[in-house]
Amino acid sequence: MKRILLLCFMFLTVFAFSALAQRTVSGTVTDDNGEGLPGVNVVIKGTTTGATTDLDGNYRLTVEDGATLIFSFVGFETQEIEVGARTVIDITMGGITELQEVVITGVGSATSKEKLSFVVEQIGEDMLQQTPGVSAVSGLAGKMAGVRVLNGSGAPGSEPNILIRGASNILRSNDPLIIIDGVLTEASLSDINGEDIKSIEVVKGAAAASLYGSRASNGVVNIQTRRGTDGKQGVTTVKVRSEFGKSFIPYKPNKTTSTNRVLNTQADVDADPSGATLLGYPSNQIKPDGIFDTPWPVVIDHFDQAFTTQDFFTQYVSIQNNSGNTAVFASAQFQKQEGIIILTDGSERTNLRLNIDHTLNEKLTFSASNLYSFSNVDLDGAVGSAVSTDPMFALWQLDPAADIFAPNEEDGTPYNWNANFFGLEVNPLYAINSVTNLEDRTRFLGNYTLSYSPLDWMDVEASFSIDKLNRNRNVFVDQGYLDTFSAGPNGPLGIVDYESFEIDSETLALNLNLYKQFGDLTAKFRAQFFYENRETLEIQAAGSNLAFKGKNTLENVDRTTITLNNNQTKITANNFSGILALDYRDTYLFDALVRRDGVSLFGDNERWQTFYRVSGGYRISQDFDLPGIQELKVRGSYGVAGGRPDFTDQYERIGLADGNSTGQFQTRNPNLKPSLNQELEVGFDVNFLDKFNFSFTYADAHNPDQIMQVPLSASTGFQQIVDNVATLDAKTFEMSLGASVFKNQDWDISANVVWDRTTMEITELNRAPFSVGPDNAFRIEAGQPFGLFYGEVLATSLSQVENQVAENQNVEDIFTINNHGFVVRKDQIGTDQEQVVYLRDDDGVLVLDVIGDITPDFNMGFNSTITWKNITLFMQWDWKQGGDVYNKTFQFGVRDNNVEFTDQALVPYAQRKSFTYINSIYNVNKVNSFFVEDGTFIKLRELALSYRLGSSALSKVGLDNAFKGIKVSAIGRNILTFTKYSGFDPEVGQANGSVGANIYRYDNFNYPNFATFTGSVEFTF
Amino acid sequence: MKYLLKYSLIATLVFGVSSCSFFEELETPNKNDLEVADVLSDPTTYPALISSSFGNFWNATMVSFPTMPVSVAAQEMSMSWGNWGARDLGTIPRLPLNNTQSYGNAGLIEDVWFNVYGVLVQTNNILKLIDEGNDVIVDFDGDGNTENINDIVRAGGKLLQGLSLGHLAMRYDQAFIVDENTDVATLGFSPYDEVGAAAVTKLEEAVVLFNANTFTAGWINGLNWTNTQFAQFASSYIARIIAGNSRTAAENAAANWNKVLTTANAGLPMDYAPIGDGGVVWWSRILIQGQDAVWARLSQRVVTEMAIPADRAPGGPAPYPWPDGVASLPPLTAGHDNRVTTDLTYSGAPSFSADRGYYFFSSYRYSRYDAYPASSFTTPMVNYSAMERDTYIAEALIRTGGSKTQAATLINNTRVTRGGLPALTGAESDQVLLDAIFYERRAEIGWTWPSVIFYDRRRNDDLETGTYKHMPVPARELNVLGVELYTFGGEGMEM
Repeated sequence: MKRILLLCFMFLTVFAFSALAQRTVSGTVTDDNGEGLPGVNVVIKGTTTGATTDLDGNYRLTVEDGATLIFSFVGFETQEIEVGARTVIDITMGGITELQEVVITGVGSATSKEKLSFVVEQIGEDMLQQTPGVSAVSGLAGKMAGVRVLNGSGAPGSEPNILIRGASNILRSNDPLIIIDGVLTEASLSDINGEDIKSIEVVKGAAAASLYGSRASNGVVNIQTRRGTDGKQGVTTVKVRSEFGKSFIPYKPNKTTSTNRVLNTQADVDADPSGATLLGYPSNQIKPDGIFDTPWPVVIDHFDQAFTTQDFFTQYVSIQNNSGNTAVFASAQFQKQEGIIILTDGSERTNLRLNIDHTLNEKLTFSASNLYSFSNVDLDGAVGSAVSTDPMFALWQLDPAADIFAPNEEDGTPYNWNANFFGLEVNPLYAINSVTNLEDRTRFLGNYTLSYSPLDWMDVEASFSIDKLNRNRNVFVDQGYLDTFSAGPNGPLGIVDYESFEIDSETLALNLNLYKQFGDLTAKFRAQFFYENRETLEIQAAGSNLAFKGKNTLENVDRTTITLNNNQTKITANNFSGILALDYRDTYLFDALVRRDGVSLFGDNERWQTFYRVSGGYRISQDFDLPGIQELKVRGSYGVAGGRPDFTDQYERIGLADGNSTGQFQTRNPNLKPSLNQELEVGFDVNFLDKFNFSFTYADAHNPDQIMQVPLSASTGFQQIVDNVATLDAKTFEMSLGASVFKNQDWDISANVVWDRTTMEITELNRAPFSVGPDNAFRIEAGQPFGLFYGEVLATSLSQVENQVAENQNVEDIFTINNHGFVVRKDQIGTDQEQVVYLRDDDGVLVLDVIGDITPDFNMGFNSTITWKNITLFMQWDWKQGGDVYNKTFQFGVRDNNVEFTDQALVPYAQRKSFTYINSIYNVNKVNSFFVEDGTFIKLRELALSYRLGSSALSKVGLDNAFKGIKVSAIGRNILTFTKYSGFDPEVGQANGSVGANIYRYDNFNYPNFATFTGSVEFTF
Repeated sequence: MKYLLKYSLIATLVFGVSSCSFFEELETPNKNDLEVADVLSDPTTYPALISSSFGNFWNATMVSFPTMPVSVAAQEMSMSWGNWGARDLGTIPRLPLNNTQSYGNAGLIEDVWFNVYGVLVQTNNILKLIDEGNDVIVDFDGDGNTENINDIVRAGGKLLQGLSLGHLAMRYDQAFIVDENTDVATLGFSPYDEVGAAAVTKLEEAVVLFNANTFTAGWINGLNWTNTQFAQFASSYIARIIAGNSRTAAENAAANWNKVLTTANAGLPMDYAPIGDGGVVWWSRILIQGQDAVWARLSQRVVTEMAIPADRAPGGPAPYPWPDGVASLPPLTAGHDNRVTTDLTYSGAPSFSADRGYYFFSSYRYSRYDAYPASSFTTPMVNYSAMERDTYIAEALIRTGGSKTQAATLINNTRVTRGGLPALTGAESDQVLLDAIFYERRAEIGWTWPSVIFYDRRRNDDLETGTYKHMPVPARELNVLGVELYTFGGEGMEM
């Protein structure tokens, strides 16, 4: 298959190369002062063919008869000049204009923002490179209305989740399609570095996204990296950037310092010849009142011990050269992020990039983009393994006096594995230190595009892309591992586990672009064929009982203990699309698109699906001279995009393991369709008072045909079918305001504010309501908002418990409300039997009801850039108002009495609660209303102070020959969070099934997000 | 000429593109799972399917949800952890079962239902295909020649049908009776007694087929049984289902004990003990966490029974219930049942949280099968012991007016040899002998088939007041059928 693809690509290449040149035009571009202007783009209208002026403003290119040249340069007014019979065209550029943003995502060809009839947001290099993100998209956080970036886990090497305009899928992924230099990415974004990024465009609505058909229900993020063609012709720019700093945890919750046990007396110590009984330490005996208010004799801050300040280091080099016909951008980045957990190495990543653009002749250009990334991640700090629990879980469970640095009495190795006195968990440092738990990833992204422009109104483009991931994981536990509690009987005998996962994805896009001017009407048409092929292969082998110590190989395990797992998937798709964009007098805008997707994931009877959009815009300010208003546009669009089923969804499935069928599971669904994202978007954009730009958008999304598992009657012998059975509606308001507040020779102050609010409701569900997600904490029910927490409810008013008293009793006589605001029995209040009461139905069955909602009231972002002479201060704030989090970490803490809430020594004596009370709140770990917390936060995500030395400043110190510029920055990331949330960080989530952490806002011992303070120095020469 | 060249170039390019467009079929096979067609299209695979179905049936009935909480409800094993709904079923006063799909431990009602029907329906499909003329012709006996083994596969299928229907009858108030002749479209629920009777019929058919066909088969993990052993096992199971299906003492008294006697007598004379496969399909949860001192203990209700009378007094080491406010009790005084020494381990204060009720506490963990977790789950797992069969015979003899001397001898097999308790002679009252039987079963087989103690207490009206007597049809099934949800449990709502 790959061979056929390559052959086709080569075939096209050979034909395209045979195109012939025409005649040559040359000239000089100067500014108002007569100085030559280097770096001016000169493009033949209607084509992507062109040239860039050299250092003296000279250009040369070959054109057809009747061609028009477009001269453009940032900050100057674009000019169109008809060539006519001339061979020399000199022009003067003047009339400085505001920067005009051009977008390329979701449209047929590059289109200025003013001429868009739907929303495509864009962030440029200037904003992104203030604090180059650890990952490619972390820099988006708080910068675009309707776009949320969530770091559900802070673990080094983990990737953020993006959620655009709320959810469009109930039980399938809500992650947007991410495109990098034309490659539709298929795996983790954490392989992509931030420094190379030139711009990020985000397509939010179905209309704009419909170009990507059934991959686009969650929106599209399109990342462009820097290229040689961005630089001035004939100039080589080298950039060296070093950033070094420290990561640390900005906030640590308090743990308990008290016990409810009787302390050992000297008599107890004397009675135990083993020496295990320590004077003044808690004994096995619980105090008569059972209250946790006796201080431990020693209290160690384990968070303080385990979270340390570790290194963050980035070294980056890039070379950019534009030598006319060939332009090259190459970069290398090494990044080490150690994270914050002691003894863990975090992640190390090396990225190499090579982007090449070559103009073969004026009709034919070739461009290649390549990223090769390899990284190692130490998973010890982030996840558990075959023999150890999640280190965050274990860290919470430590008894206050546990000495986690003491050696093991068994063999003298460090970090006493059973350091706890009572807690059941094992010292996490022992596992981190003893267990190998590593991941290494290799990623290659490549895009190769050949553009051929045979006519000034037509061009043809072939683009071949590759995304390849190899990920290996290895867990190794040597002989003599001491932790028999979590490792089980085989742990001490050693374990070897290897897992390999591979993604192999290729796409081929063939585009035909037509461009024609009919008087005042400009028409653009694009037809596309898009082929996709994606395969995955997973193999895991593990065994135990090592023959020799220290040998981390499967050859060292007992053959009879080997287990094997294997999984393979393959997805193919053939997609066709056509776009027609019309613009009349630059004033009336119209755009229509149809896309037809044939995808192997759809059921046999529904294999071909249609997506489309229509959109229109009216630039009122073109027709009317509105005082104080430079630009006013109203726009509206309606579009349909789709969401694909998961690989296994359509199939009949009977499990297969160890050579046996393991039972009938799922029936075939030949009628399985993609979910749809039908969205109406209306809004307006206005630029006013020469300083401000404001956008408002309302999007009304209707998402029918939601894909989900539907249970079947047991009499069928199958458990489920996957079908299109629900509709999710979402309504979003978005506003953004940008301002160039003040600008003069020394000062430049600008600011942006973005705001959005999304509400979601499940309007249709053709199956019984159900609960889903981590701990089944989330409710799916028709007529209810999406994202509800569902669980048992602590009674807070007497009217809620009227059905829990006998008919001849008064509720006031039986129940009362305690000082926490919870209903308790009157005869138990103040006693060691006091406990909270849960709502019950009239049969006495515990009621499950809505107890929270993930959806925030609104999100807001604010950033400002203040430049004074050579000093720039940049800050980015991010505010999420409302939206609940279920704090499972806290619930476990209440179970084990290791959180501050259970520490009754902090409470006035009369208000102390017994462990009966505390455990009635814990509620056997069942989801309940007590642990739903408000997830509101305001974060200072980025803060950067930079000092830039330009060539004039450098000349004063005689360095202008060596450098073009030097930039020194102090950078802070995530350094401040304002929240009432009791855990480490309200920015938390957990993926479950196909649904990402951006939906399930569930705090379950996640690796905390951490702050970094770094300094960077950047040399350009 | 220039234009001709140009357009021919474009035409070639377009042709080139279109010739590349028939890239690949949009059919992508799922290599990871089987389909019915894979599984059933080739009759020669049916013997292997019957074999894996025995494993799937084991897995459906012996891992977490089917065993752990039921044993706690029966006060045989004790744990107050929330896992698998154990605390919910063990809490006193008893509450109604939470029969909703949203219940975090919905698996305790759902899992057996859906997993057992998965086995049953696949088995029915095989039998139907054989009836339709898909002959199973394989070299089953390994002599180099193929033979038609339709009836051997049928025998295995009937056994699976009987086991499946029997477990559904004992666990739920009603169920679908489905076999190879069922029209699923017109299917309704049948009450538990009818489901139990259908199970017995299937097992009787299996016995006939097994006895008529000579073979050996490794259908049970690690065991290579003869057709006679399979017939005996099916016969044993008839006794188990008839005895286990009564909801009350009155129903138990009215059960067909003559049939229990004949079928148990014709039953398997040794332990039914599949070999653990290391935790893949053939494994047992109660032999892992159920024997771990942190996770679980032998219920104090049983510990008390095994202690000498003086120990049972208030202030002694074995009062029942465990006294409130007491964190730990000392070991039992000598003179107790010998099995306290051989099968139990004194484990001191439990890690259970006292506010969940001291009645969950116990000082002893079950340790008779410690070899199982120590072996990485690869030793034999006794599931239907010879002792269980013997006690059905003994009980049937007593209830049918048979030889009480023989009954006493059968009881003494474990009572005297393992427990070191005084021998019974048969001269005792029926009640004394029956009490001795049920005590023996609590002491011997609570960790082999955990549900048996629940069913024993149920048919003796001996469950804690308010304990459900059977489970409702799971909410997930009721929701599919659009039937109103219902449940059992809580005082006055037991069935």
